[in-house]
Amino acid sequence: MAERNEEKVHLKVPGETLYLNLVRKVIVDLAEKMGFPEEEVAKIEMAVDEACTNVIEHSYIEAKDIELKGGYFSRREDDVERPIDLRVKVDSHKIELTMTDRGKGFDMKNYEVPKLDEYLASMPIGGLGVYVIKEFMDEVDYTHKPGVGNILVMTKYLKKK
Amino acid sequence: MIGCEISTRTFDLGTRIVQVVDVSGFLDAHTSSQLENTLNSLVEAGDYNLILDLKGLDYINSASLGLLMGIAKRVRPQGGDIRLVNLSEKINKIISVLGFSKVLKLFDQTKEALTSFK
Repeated sequence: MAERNEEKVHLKVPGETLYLNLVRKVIVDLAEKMGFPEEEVAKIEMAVDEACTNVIEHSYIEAKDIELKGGYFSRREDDVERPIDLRVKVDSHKIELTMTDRGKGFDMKNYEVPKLDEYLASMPIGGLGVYVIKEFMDEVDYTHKPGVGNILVMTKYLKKK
Repeated sequence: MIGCEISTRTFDLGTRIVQVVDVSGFLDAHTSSQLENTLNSLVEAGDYNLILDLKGLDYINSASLGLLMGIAKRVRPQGGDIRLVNLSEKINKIISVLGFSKVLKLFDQTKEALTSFK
């Protein structure tokens, strides 16, 4: 593949599940154009979908609960729409996805990836979202900055053939 | 197509009734409740022999896979099962990588899955 200059895409959609399909389509299109094999595109697609779903179903919803209880969550003016804010950087070597939300924090760094065999033997009904993100991407970095929000950076490298 | 489409076909095998649930489109946090409602209704009505025909399904999230595990957990003690057919190469790969293929039975075609219930 020819050397490619860095390109950036900024995707900001309402934090509603209705928009997940749109987000997946954009990411799949970018990953395919970069030349990722089909299986790796599918992994990137799933990791992004799970990350967005976590924000919508956990981060924002639980943050709303905290607000209702008069807790510490500080509302900012642009929180009204509670967006999925995804910044994508692509170059010849990698795709880097940075997702920012202002919901409740989640300690992803200390999240223990389950042992899959034991996990599946218990026939779980849910809880694989973070596993998918960590296993399907090459690098995952999560930061919670009080007053700023949660920043999740997921990177996948294009392996040289 | 926006979302997913779900329909059900009934097969009388003589010894058992099997419900084939056709799913196309995508299963994500926006649409998975449709499948959940369909499967719950079937199980509550006593239909424990289920085949999920995924021909035309483009995407499945982990919660939907968890839903299938939950259904398997409910119907297996009743002598039933939920079996998957017509998976695209992409979905087959994801299910295998995540290990769900060790717990859920996969078939290439509906006919094979029906025969497996006899």
